[in-house]
Amino acid sequence: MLGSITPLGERGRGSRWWVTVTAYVLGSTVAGVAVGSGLGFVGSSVAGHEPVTARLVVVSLGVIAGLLLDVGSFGLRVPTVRRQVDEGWRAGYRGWVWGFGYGIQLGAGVVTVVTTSTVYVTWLAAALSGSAVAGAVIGATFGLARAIPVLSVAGVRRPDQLLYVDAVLVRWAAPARRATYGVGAIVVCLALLGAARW
Amino acid sequence: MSPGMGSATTQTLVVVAVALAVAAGLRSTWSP
Repeated sequence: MLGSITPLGERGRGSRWWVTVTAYVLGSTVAGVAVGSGLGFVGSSVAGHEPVTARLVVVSLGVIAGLLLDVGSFGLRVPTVRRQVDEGWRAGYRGWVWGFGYGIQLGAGVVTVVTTSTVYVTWLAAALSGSAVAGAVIGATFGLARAIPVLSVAGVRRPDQLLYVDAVLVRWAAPARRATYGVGAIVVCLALLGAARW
Repeated sequence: MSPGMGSATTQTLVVVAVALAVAAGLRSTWSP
């Protein structure tokens, strides 16, 4: 995805990179807020009546189950749709249109390929957060975190720079995967400590 | 349970969820 929104590519399409990127980040954030607040609102009528400690335990169990899927335990894998954003949009629409459209789809988290169970657990946590506002905060965080890495290609103006970015992404793929596992483990500890303390 | 206790656990839940959201969002950079 990073390679799809570069100053190099946007210049070739006659678009301004910052306009496309702004629309992309905005779309991703809007989608995150919509999904998060929606889940928070729906969940508040059910989970809102349950003790927060119980909800923390459920989130912890969700993270643990997700990590088991992420590492391929029991031959299982993270369930996902196979769909990706339509590459044709970039040639057919203005930069801000496809940027916003891509952002909406990617910020929703689950309408394109899902690579990590933490996406599902994030939405589970939003549903268990107890309110639309808390869900919106969680969703906005996801949407922003999903889109912000695009800023790392702001300096790509030549093909060799794009190749370098691709190489960096490949080099960091495994560490990023392990870091996600680490965050999951920390989150479980934090949630269980919180549940036990209160 | 006092309101303060409930507030603290809710904050913990939101902090946990936000940490998950950051990890999930950044990790999704490596989606195909």
